[in-house]
Amino acid sequence: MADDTIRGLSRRQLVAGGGVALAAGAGALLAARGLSFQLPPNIGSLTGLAEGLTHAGSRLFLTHKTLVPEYPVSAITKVDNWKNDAPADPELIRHIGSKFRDWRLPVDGVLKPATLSLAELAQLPRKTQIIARHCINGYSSISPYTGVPLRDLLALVGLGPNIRYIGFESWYDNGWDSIDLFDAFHPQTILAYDEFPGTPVSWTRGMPLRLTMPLHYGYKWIKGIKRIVALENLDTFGDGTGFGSSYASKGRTWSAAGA
Amino acid sequence: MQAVEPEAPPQEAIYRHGRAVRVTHWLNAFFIFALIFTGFGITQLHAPLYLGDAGQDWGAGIEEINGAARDPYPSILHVPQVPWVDLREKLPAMADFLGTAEVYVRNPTRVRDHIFFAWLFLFNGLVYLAAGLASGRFRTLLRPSRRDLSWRKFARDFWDHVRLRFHKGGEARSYNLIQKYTYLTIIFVVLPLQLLTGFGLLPWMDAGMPWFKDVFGGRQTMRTIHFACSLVVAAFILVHLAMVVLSGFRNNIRSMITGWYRLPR
Repeated sequence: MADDTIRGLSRRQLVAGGGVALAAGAGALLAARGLSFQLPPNIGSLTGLAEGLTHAGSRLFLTHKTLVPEYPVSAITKVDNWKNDAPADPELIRHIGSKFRDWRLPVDGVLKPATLSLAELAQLPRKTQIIARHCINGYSSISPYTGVPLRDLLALVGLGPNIRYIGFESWYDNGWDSIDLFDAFHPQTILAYDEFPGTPVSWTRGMPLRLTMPLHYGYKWIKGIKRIVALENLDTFGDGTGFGSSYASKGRTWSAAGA
Repeated sequence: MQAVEPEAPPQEAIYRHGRAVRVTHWLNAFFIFALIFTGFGITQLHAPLYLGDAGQDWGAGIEEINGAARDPYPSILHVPQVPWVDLREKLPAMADFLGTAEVYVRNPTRVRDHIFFAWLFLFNGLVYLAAGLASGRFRTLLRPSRRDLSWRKFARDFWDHVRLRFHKGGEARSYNLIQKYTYLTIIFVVLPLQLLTGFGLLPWMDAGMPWFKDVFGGRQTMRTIHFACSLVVAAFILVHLAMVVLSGFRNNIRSMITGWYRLPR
């Protein structure tokens, strides 16, 4: 049909050619960025494919220079009232009582494994930021967090050449989660011990340490961090299912950049 | 034994919908249904709507925690919530089903599914737009002709449409003016706005394109617009379905399956 062709190309050829050109362009752009990012671990499933598309698509627009807006104090929203389960672990209750003063954070899987107290973390480079946190349920809060940029902590302990992920274990529900190096080295990804300087992160907000993940939904802002481990892959991390996140069993996605 | 009927004069038929339009139409119907279903589920996770960048209306409970501090981002509206508890009490026979339904509808996983179907909706829509441009469908079927551009013609078509007097014969070759304006608005204004405001809600967009949310007046304003668009789309679908039934159900359905539309006599 004459209507179906434009300059001798059939409609099907045009659509297929356009798709290939688009994919090649996106791939070239991602490669040119040279930033280390990983596709979500469950990329093999149908919805995992959509998650991967959103996740990889987001990386087309992001570098370590693309920052989320930082707000003035007047923009801070009401306190979060997302209820955490009351702590039951006696060790945890003791630590909360003493504001984790005699507790140390193990950092493993790195070139120079270390255990750091909160006081030692406070000696490292410090950043206070008032940024928005968007919940997957739809609300947004704006709150202050103070801590050490994760990239500075990782530079201190050193990463081997095969490291691809940073894993976190949490006091909250004994959960675990992991992020790729792109997120780990984003300048607004900080390991927060204070809200405003001098005010420790509350139990509601994620005592003793909370990660701020400016590019992801709030559930990826890992709370109550009790151990950090650098990982080459996610195969044996957490429950060993390879999904890299205890949220995966609750129907959420490893990448919270889209879902 | 079949009675011999006098042969009816052949009814003129036109090839109205090309194959690409038919396929993308039915796919679109499914994707939009899925988007509305999952989108409704998402509104049930957090009902308040806001203007500006943020918003966290927890109702009266927050006052106990926080005192009566002034909230810089008050909610402007609440999406109605399904009264699951009341329903279960009133319909004890369906309590199990309602419990399962609530877990399914009010579930953060619906966000993932919503974005999944949004991707499919986007790709399908691009194919439709490409086919519509290549085949001249937009030009011949949707664009108002020059003589359409008069208030008298608009008023006449409007009243005809309201009184359910549909065009016949040669006049029915093209859509009537009300159809044209409605389809053009949905295809080129409402659905793109819905897609853009949804795209802007991806959490990394604050960093990727910080100006994007400001174009719409802030992230939560964008969320509110996204919800408002879904109401417009839902209203369109209701009227669209009613018109499909009222203006010749079999002919309309046949034309969207085979492409051939019989001009009403």
